[in-house]
Amino acid sequence: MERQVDGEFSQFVKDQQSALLRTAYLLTGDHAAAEDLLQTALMKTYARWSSVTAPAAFTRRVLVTTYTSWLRRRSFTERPVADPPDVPSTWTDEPDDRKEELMTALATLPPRMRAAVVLRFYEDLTEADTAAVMGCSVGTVKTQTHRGLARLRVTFPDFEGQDEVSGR
Amino acid sequence: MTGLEDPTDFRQLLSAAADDAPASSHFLAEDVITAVRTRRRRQRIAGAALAVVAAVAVGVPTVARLTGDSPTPGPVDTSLVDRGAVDVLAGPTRGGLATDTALIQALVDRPWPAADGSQTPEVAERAVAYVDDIGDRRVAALTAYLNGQRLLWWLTGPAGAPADQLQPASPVTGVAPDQPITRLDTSTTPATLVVLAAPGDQVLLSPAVTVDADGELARVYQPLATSDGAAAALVDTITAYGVAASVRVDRGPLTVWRAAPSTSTLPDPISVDPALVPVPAGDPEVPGALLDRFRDDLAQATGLDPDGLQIAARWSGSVPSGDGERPAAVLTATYPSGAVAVAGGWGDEESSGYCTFAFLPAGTDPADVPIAMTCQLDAADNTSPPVTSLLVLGATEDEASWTRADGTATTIQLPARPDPVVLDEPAPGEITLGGMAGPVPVSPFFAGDLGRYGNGPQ
Repeated sequence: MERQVDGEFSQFVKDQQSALLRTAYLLTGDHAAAEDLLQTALMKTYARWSSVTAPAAFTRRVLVTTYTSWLRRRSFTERPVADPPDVPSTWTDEPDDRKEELMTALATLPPRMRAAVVLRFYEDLTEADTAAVMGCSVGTVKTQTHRGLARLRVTFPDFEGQDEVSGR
Repeated sequence: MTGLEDPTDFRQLLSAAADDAPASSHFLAEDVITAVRTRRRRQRIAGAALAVVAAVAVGVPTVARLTGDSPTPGPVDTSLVDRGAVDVLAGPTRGGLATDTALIQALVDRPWPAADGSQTPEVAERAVAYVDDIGDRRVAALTAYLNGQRLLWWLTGPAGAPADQLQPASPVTGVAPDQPITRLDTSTTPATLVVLAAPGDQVLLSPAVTVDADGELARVYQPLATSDGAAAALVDTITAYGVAASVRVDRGPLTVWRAAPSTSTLPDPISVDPALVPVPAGDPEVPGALLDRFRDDLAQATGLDPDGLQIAARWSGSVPSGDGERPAAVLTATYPSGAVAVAGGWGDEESSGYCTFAFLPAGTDPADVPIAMTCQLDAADNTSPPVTSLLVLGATEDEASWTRADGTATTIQLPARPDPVVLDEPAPGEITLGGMAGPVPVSPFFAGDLGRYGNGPQ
């Protein structure tokens, strides 16, 4: 039985690891933290494997809730600033610069706000699905997304399409 | 396309950023399974050991005092955990007194605390994993099997003390010896570190993060003299604010362990009285919450006494928020290397936050350096939009100017006395001050790796 569970879990990790790691990276912005976050989430998934019916969704939810709960555990270099400063930037069309600017801007968002933006626009989840993953109401998702986009717009002044982006 | 006005572009940009995620690991599933099983095994062992600990607490007052100080595992990089089967407690006694057969036998014969009123490990099930004199302390690690569980018991005393005069330094604890065992005894100064790894392993120690004269941070591991996987050291970078040390274990070319050592109790924190922090004439006292945060962050990873860091306020006042104003300050501290930490932020009764945190190289007098800081503060109840403000210190003229993202220029009047100016537009990344040669960065943030012990607790 244990061997079968381990086989199923190993296959699940093999199939989902890359996608989950990408999400973890967008949430944390740091390689080591993303790996640690994913490993923590997978440990919780494995521990409950026999009762988990949708492991990918379960792991994603654990990933997000673990990330948001890490706020106070981190050292100061990793600690999100409760009210982050603006990080204005000069927009360029260079792809690498744009990615860097985006990650810098995401880093200014509080964890739940960042999670809402990542789930809505990277994972492409609906507001209802995002609420399910974050363990909150749809209204909270709307609020967090709205504020997250507003803050991103501070960094990206040209961004005026909030309604277009969030209108789903 | 030059911005995020296109939702497809925004999604594509997120996806492109995700491409920079770390590569997948072939060992992740195996690591996770191993870690969960190790945790379960430890929980079972800990359950078995609880009865032993309870008996100790009743029978031996000295240990009862320490029961609440059970070693706290530090952050552990579990991605690096050894994948081979090792037993770090197996084999003959290690340490400088390992050949003292009389001492070893006396330690083996020493009675263990009873569990359930009667159960103690049989003599044949006991062993001494380590014993040595480290500085002026004698340290012994005793192991035993009881009901199939592996137990560990640390004893300490003055160097040269016979076995029966060593005192319990920890409760009896269950252990899973497939990972290095560390113990940092902070009851003495300097603290005493013992690391038990597998024979052949190399133990390394980084006492603390260092801040050099350029303001650069580093955590450097130096190899300890390691014999059969055992190593010891005296560590003087322990403060009330935490353990700055990190232990690493290398097995051949592979690092198999990196973590803060398990630690006995720390001394009580020493509060810094905000009234004792110098502020410019006319400025209010610095907010205590921000001061505490700054002090902790400076001291924890470096192991330095905050009293020696010359903490002072470059400015103290308040910054606007969505529901009024919050106490704020720009604080400075000087490291022994001469590098200067500059942090600006706010603090109230419930929380605090940084608006800037940077390091200046040695020889820099922060009073001579223009500092620009922007804060964006919501209302405490999130009912109103955030207020963005800009504080400029050290300007020789009364104007600050910058170029907006759209290429247009703007100039604002700075108040005669340094106070934040509310902005109705995004804060700039840098500003130009009249009379100053170059641009001044706004809210620079240090982005180094000050707290690196391992990847975090599990």
